[in-house]
Amino acid sequence: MKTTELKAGVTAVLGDTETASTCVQLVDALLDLSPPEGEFLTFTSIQKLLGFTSIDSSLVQAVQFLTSSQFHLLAAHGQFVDDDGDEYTLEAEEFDEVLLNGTMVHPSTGHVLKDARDSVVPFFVLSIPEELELER
Amino acid sequence: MSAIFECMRQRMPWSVARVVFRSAGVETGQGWDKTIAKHADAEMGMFEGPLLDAISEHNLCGEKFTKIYDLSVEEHTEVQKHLAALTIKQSDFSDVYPLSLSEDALQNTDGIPVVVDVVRNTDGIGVVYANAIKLTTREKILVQEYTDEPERFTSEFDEIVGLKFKTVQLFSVVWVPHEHNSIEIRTDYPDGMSTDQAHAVQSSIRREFNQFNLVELGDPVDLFGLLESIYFDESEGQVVELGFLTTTASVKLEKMRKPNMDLRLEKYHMSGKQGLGTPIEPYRISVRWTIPLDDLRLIPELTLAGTARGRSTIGSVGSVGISGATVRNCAGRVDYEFVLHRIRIHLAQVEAKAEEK
Repeated sequence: MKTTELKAGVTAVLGDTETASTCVQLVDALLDLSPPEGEFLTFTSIQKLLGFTSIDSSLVQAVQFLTSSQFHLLAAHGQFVDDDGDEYTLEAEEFDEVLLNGTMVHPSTGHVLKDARDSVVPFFVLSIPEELELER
Repeated sequence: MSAIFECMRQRMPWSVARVVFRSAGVETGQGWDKTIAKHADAEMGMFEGPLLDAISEHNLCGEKFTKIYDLSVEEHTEVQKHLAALTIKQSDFSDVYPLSLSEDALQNTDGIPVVVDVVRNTDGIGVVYANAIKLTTREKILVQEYTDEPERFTSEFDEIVGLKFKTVQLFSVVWVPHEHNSIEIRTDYPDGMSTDQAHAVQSSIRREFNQFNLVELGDPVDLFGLLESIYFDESEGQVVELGFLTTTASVKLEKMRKPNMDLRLEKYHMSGKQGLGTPIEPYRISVRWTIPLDDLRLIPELTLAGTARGRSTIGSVGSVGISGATVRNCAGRVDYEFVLHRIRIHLAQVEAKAEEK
């Protein structure tokens, strides 16, 4: 698949919407990144990449679309930052648990945190499918 | 069995305990509470031996602050001989060793280190001391758990924090490796212990050792040279924290604790160095290694923590040192000895370079 086909596919699925437009902009912005620049993309860094003034719903939906649809370019991960400021990258199943139930086990203390959602930062890693043919 | 679990819980980070449980064949649940509940009524006798062995090893190697002292060949021989012949006097600590005393029982101890074990293995000979110390930890208070009107507090304060005074047991080790003419003093460095306390515990164990009148331990080996030796050796583990000074008057503390990523090779870090044009001056480094062991992954971490004073103060130009290494996340001998081996390799390189000049 070529990148123009990918963008056309995104538009075909999302229709003539703001989310589709944001998604296409985001595809362009992501494909312009060199690999190390796509290792830790937060919602804020994506907002800045796109030059948006805020993290609006179209941006959130575009990111969700590019992490979970057949057109995925991003892999979602979670970073837990505890009250002492120590950071821990979550395993995929730990991140899923936070998303589903809001709970996780503190990697150091072993305590179950019942409401961990406010302590976990979602981040996205650029993950370009092998079959995608980049057009520069 | 509950005493074993409780002891592990007090001493090991959960990430380390999971490795220990897996190596002993004990299934874990989600966190400590569920793991303990899972096995509360089960027949666990077969696991007791392996877990006690693992605790003994962790007492020697887990969450340690380590200082190294050089010995002559003759001193090394004499010290090993003396330590190997030590006898252990009965004490509250020795009665439960390798487990720790309960917090209640610790209240009746006087804080003076007592010998609880003499260990002889293929790595060396060591004496294990136990004592109690009071620590202050800071915990976030969930107001809704203590009052029906939490908004009275949450409207005024963003965060409410409580101080907890806790008595904890420490294991300290005087270790004399077979292969090196040196002594390591390894002291526990639990969460909540200040740097000053960590150094004070080291001093108390050094005093205990000096009372043997075998050799007077003075200044430990200076580890400051390892900062650059490790930093500039990109094949050496993964740097996850780096504190450094720049000639443009900034003090940086960079952290990158992502699996399999190395701060040394991170683009912002590399570009910053390139833009600077003058060398950076590292004063603090944390490096970790991944060691596959059967189906386990050991991830020990070494921290050499200087301060933003760098290598020089008015009183000590070019000679501010780092006297101890913090070695965390070790499950046992394999990963701890690996880290010490890397320290020794870099110390030898630093020494060789110094001789070249």
